[in-house]
Amino acid sequence: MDDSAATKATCETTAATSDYEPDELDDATILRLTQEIKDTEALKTPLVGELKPISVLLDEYDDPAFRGKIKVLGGGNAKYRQIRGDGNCAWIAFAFRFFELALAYHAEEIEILKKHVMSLTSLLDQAGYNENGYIDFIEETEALFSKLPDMSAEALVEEFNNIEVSSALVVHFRLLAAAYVKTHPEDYMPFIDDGEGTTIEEYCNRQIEAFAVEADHLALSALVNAVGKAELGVVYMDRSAGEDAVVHSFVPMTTTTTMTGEQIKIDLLYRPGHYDIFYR
Amino acid sequence: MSRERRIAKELRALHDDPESGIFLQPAQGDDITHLVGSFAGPRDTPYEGGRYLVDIKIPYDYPFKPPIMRFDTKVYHPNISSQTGAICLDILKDKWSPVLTLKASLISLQSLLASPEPTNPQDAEVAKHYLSDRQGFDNTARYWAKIYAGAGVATSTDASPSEPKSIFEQYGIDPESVKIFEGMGFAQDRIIEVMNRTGIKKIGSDAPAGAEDRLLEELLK
Repeated sequence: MDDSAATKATCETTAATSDYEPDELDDATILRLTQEIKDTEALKTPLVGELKPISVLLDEYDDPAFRGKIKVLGGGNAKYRQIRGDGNCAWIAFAFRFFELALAYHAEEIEILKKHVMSLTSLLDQAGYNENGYIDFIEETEALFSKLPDMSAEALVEEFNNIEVSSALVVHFRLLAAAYVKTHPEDYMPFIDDGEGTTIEEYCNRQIEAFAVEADHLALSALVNAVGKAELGVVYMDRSAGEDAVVHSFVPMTTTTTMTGEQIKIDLLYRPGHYDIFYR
Repeated sequence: MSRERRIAKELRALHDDPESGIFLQPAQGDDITHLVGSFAGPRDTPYEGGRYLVDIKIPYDYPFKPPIMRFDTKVYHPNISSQTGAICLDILKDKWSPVLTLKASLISLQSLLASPEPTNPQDAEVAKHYLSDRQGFDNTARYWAKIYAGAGVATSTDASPSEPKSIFEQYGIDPESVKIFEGMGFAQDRIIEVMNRTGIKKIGSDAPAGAEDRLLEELLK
């Protein structure tokens, strides 16, 4: 939330200083090139990776503080699925796991879940979003639901590795979270108030709606509350003291009454700055 | 959702909403991934009366990446490069959201003209001018709006309403000094802009020492 109160104009000064040379790279070019490097790096990882034993992750870490926690957590049998670190990882991870768990449902249950998720669109209208602005993204979600009854797990991974599909789902879920915050200001304002006059609208614009800005705690809480049908556990893998990894649970404040059956239970593995999917 | 479909939809929506005062059209031919947008300078600002053109390139992964925008019309503003038209606005960079549209982006640029953020400048020199001499800044910005953005004859607040002053009178610039620089091959509008910006309104024996050199240095940039 560091820059939630940032001013609108946030650029490094370059042009028109006395040593300015027209041949030098300007600000926009540097930004673009930096982004290209980041994008190229990110492209080396699939958006949604294969399911791997947690031991693979364990081998990446020499640090005993991390290793201990991974061991305690999974007892060696846990698995994880790596998500591309492009700033959307928490959103993609949540969306993928949501649909992956729904793969096990019967067609009728999928239809009920689809109706539920589509009914959340009214939240977007309440929050003041223009239908023209969101409809394209929601249509991707709807299309994915329609394909789900006949889909294999592999096909779902493939679907999510289509950047247009996963990006649309990311936008849809981001909008749901932002809409929930905007329609429940009393629940969130105390956390957004940074003493610098940041409004709910600004917070949502800069931290939730902005594409490729990482999800913070508040955004995840809002996402879980908005969806209403899924619980989220985030396993924190950091260097904090202690053998056990801290698990933070997000449970919807009001579980929806239109749904029957169990809640979808999603686990994410958080390492500082990045989320992957965790399979207990 | 394809990029072209989304752009076409946006163009259609804008076409149906001429009252927005925002216009978009292909820069050339029927390539809708390279557009020119335009809007009016906001009222009660030095940009009032001007029409501003913005070059818009739509990246391959739009709307998930922001459109690449640059002012085609020269603008004198702390957050816009006076040389390249590069724009400093967060929503066109890391705070872009796919629910934003080209129209929304152009409206944000219009608001940026009305509310400069000189503490976070794109153009350091213009920002310095804005912070140190607001009246002088406004004069230059208004002058640029006139010569580059087609704003009507600017009437500064102290100008007599019945008789429009000449450009030289209006800015208190010595016409003879301008002629000297014109003789060296510099364009008149450029000379006036530099004189306004530097505050050096004349050269010669009764001008401060080094005035001519300083102006020349600016003109040659």
